[in-house]
Amino acid sequence: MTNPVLLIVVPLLLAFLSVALKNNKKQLLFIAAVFNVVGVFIIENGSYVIGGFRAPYGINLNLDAYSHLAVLVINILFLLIITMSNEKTKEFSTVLLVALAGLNGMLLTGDLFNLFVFLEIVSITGYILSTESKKYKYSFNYLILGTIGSGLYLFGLIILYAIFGSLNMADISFKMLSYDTGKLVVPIFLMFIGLAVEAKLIPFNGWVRGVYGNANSLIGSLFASVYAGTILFVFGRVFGQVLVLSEYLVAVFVAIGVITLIAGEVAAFSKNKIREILLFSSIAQSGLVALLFVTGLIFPTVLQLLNNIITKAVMFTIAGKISDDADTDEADKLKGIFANNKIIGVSFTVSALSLIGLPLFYGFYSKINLLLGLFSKINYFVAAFILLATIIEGAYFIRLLVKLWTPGEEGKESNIKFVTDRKVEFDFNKKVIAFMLSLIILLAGISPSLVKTNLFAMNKLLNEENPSYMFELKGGM
Amino acid sequence: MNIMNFIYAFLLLVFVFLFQTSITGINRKVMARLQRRRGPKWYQQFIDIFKAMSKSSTTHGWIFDFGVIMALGGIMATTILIPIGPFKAFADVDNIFIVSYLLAVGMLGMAMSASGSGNPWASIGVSRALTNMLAYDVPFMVLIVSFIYAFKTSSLSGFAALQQGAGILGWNFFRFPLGGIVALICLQGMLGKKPFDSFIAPAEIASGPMVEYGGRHLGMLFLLHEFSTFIEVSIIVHIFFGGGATPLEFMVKYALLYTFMNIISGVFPRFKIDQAVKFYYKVPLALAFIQGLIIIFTGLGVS
Amino acid sequence: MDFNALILFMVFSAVLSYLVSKSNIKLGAYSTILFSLISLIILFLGRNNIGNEFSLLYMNFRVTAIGWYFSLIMILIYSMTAFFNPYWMEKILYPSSYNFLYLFSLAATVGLFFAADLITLFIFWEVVVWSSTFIVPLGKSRKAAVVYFTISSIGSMATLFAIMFVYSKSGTFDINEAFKFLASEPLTATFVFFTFITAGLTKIGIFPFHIWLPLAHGNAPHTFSPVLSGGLVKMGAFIAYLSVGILPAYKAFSTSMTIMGIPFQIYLLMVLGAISIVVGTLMAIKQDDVKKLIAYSSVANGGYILIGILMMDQVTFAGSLMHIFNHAIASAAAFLTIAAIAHRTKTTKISELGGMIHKMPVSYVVYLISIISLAGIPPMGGFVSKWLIVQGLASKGLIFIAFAAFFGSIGSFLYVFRPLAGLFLGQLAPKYENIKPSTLVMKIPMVILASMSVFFGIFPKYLLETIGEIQTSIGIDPIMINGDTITTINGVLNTNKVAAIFGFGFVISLMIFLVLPKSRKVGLMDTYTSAEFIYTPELYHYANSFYAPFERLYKNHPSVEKFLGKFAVKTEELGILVNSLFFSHKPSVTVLWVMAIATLIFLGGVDI
Repeated sequence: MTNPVLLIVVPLLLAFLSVALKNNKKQLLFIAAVFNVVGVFIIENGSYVIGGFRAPYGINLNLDAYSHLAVLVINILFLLIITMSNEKTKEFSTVLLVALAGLNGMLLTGDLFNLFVFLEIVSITGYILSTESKKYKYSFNYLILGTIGSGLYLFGLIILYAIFGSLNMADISFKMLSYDTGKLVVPIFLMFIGLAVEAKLIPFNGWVRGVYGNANSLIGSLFASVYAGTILFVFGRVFGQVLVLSEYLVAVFVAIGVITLIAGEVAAFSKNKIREILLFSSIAQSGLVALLFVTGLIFPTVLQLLNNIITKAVMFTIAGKISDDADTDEADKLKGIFANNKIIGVSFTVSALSLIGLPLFYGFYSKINLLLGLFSKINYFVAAFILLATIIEGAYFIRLLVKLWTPGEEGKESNIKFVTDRKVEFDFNKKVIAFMLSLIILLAGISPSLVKTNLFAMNKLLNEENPSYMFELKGGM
Repeated sequence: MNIMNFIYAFLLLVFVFLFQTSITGINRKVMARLQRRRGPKWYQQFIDIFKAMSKSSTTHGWIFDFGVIMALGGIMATTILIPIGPFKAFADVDNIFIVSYLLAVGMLGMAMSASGSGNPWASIGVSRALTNMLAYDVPFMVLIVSFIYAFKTSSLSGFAALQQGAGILGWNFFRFPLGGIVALICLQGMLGKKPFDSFIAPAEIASGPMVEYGGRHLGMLFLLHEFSTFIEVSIIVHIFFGGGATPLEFMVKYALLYTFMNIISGVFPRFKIDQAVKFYYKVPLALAFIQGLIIIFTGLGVS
Repeated sequence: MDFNALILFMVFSAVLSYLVSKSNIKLGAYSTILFSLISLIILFLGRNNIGNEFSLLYMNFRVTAIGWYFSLIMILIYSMTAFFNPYWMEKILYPSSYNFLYLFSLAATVGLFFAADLITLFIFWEVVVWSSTFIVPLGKSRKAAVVYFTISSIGSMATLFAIMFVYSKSGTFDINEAFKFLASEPLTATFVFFTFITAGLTKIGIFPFHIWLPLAHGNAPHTFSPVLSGGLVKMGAFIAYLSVGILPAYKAFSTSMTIMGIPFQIYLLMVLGAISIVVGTLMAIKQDDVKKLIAYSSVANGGYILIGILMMDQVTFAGSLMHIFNHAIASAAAFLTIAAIAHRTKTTKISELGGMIHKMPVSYVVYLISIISLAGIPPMGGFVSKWLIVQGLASKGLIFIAFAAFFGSIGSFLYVFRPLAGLFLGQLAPKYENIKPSTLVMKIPMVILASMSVFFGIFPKYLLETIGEIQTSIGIDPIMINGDTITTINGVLNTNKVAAIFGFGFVISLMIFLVLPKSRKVGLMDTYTSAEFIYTPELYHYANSFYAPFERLYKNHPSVEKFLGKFAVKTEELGILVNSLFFSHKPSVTVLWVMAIATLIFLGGVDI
């Protein structure tokens, strides 16, 4: 059995090394990322005790179907993103190594306090990365909100600890089953706020606009894809599987999710800058994923989450690169930019269409699954809101795509002479990886059984009947 | 359908031409007396038509000619559909919708020819004529639909047959007085008589659809006018006045109705085109709906 | 040839056409003609496939009579329009992608009509929507594509909701099985009926979803407008058919309140259809752009089609199915003639053209035949179908719907005549003195479509027999047709006879014309001018606001466009509000939110 702790330790070790080996920082980052991707395929499911004390007294890592899938996707995406924006990684190599360790830690840990620690580590790397844009006010904003968020999370956790005397996820989960969950509203809500700040749920997401809206191709896609993916996986773990929610809380969280979803889409609709559109779409998607997790749907939610983070990785990289090179990301000033970058344009389009959930793309498969899940739970209103959000989403993405592909004045036929004179040069890495990802999206859309069998083969428990991993591993106890 | 039908059809056309043109002539006389003039001879209309046909003329291209041919052809074809009393050139073609849509071929042909002349005044006239058509046809058709619903037939002779044998009070005009009024108002529009004659407005507007015509074109359009008058009045006679058990009965009713409409025309001023539209969509349409609802929901007057 | 092979062939032909276009654009355009014609032939000859079932990937198909009929229309329109593609290759920004999307959307429509389960249906529906969405902005408007997609997705999302809802109740996606349980649940059936049909309504362009048609049809590339108007709109009719034919609407609503004998749910939609006819007609009358004019006429004709389909009876339904065909070929032909003219003159505005008949007589004749058919004048196909629809309405005594039907058909005389007078007739501007007639390749599809309009107007039995079989296959009485005599309870129509009489009348008229004295040919400017001297043909041409007195009557009409425009502005304003509430750059705002909510929890949460 290969211990998954390597996924955390190796990047951390390389991070320390990178301080010493300044000239080879980039290579170290790459090595760590590749190592983690390879490692993900080697590690085996199970509970791993760290430090010698058996759970629930000690710390353990939980590698089950859910977290295995999560580390797989996150690590692969991490590798792809740093490869795509290879030219930008040098400056932040050490931070990125720490972030990689932290992200894996968040996904693997079986302990709520450990989660807090990793959350803090990841947040700090996030603050540092956000300074790349030199908009320090926004980084500061992020810092304050992140700190308040994790403070509240800790606060809630302390109350839980006081009640249950344990920090182990599985232990708390079992104990909650026999506890009057109505009495746990305060701590759970506080923890929710804590995670919601990072997960970008309304109204705790004031930092997102400043940070995402000014991020370059590397940082933007990392945030929107890897960070957001991780925090949502964790959110699903904590609120979908560990904590037992009372009906009241489910209703409130679903409401927050729905509001986030609709408000995010509406805000995106009113935007013209590519990155702002994407960031508000990310917010909306976070709301969607969070509300689905809370309603207890695991499999379809994970599908939707994958859809979101894969497509956002592509789109944020492209949007960041465009704004780096063209000095603007206002769609109106970038008319027809794809006419000279067809491969990138196709990748962006495929990603956008998949995110909307149109058939023949992977997003359709996840959309159908989540609708099936909601309908099986008689959540008609939530389903209706999701479809409403899809309409708005479709409107602004198609508007964006049409602007970026077909330049022209109203009343005149689209013509090459209307193409913007701003130039964007995409390097080989971006083209290949973006195109490859869009091919995967397409392939998975045309033949979703591929996705399904692969997901199931690796994670045979990832379905409705076994919503919680706890029943398989029992948290290592 | 055999050769005899076509011979009958031809004879019918000739008959209608002679009959209607004479009636038009007589009506010119009646009109003159109404206005305290002596008026032309009763056969003046024949003279006018043949004179126009014998004169030389100018043409503005093939569509100018083709439109006239198509118009007269369409109208004559429609005329053939009309039964005269019990006499029909062809069986089973006197369906009201066939009649009214085939009538439109003629209208369209004439409009095409007029616009094809290149004279904008002609186009303006056509635009008025078509607007007028939108005004008068719709209330009438609404009425017809309720009749079809009530009587389960849509042929002119079918409508006529259902009214015969019960005397004057069996006529639809008396059984459905509201509908009858609507039909007469609409007929006035179809005939292009006052107060709905602004698209031709013979006295005031020097230039309308006919502005470019002369010679054989004009002669043919005169013919067309006679035939279309015959079609329109006949429709009303069949549907509202019991048609005719004999051709003679039909002809008498026809002549009386036509003269009556002419006299009304003689004493009215004229609507502007938008006024006409407004009028038709207020009064006759409302009446037609009321009559229709009465027929459909109460069956009052149907049996 | 099996139809699964057909669908695969069509998909691969799209890819192949893309590859060919990459090496040679013209060749790629010709390949779209070739491939669509091959598909047409395979489909036409493969009628014995009806009843077959097959699967591709996770999609299931079942060939039905009505699906075959719709597919045939669709491929016919696509293949005829494809003849114009070669002439637009240099003008279109992405010619290869255009060719790909052109054939790909065609393949998807065929998949849609053969869908055996609701998911397959939805997949192909959306594929058609997005693939055509990317063609539209290549034309004159970017906004059009967005409006088109948004309105379409309003419909498709409602339909998706219905599909999921039905699945959650019945446990199956199979089209024939999924709706069965609704027969005994009127309330649920009402809900499903309205949500499911929405996609159809948006696609046909039923009021208030009609606003995308003039935008998209009017501004799409000239070679794609015929497909949009003649072809893709008919997908909506197919959904409408599923909503009353497969969904047991009449059975489920048998206990509902009825209006004039029709369940109120269905009557409500018929009223929407009627409003579409009136709105489409009134708007078409005032358009200056011919493409928009024909687009609005598609709105009006969509109203007829919807009403006919909703009736689900012997006569009106048959009329409606026939009208789908007639409208498809006629409106495609009309759009093609406009494309042919725009190819030479670079404009589609009536007020900028005139006298085209002297330069493009074939286009004129084709346009004339098509619009006569659209307006429902004999001896064209459109007459037969409108006659059937009107007969059906009359037999049920639906006078309010019939009012709209008549308003639409008489109003259509007005709007079809407007381009006729302003664009083809009247004065020829000197700048168009030297333009060439349309090319031979362009004439082929125009002439074929126009002759079909005439042919099926005189011999409707070839069409109506097929329609009768469709009616039998879905369990309603087939339309009674004997030889060329169509019989309904209220009347008979023998189209041969009518055509013969018309021919007879025409011949007599021609003879009269020929025996009379010859006339002298004069120029267009040699006309009566009220003694003015006029030397500028453009000024002596009546094309602007053709029906001015009539247009004045409704110039202040309320409009869905304005309403939606306001709605979009409101959405954006809401977005700005959301921004300032939640996404301000000041951390204090968010901290305030966090604190407020935390306080609320502390105050009230404990006891819950």
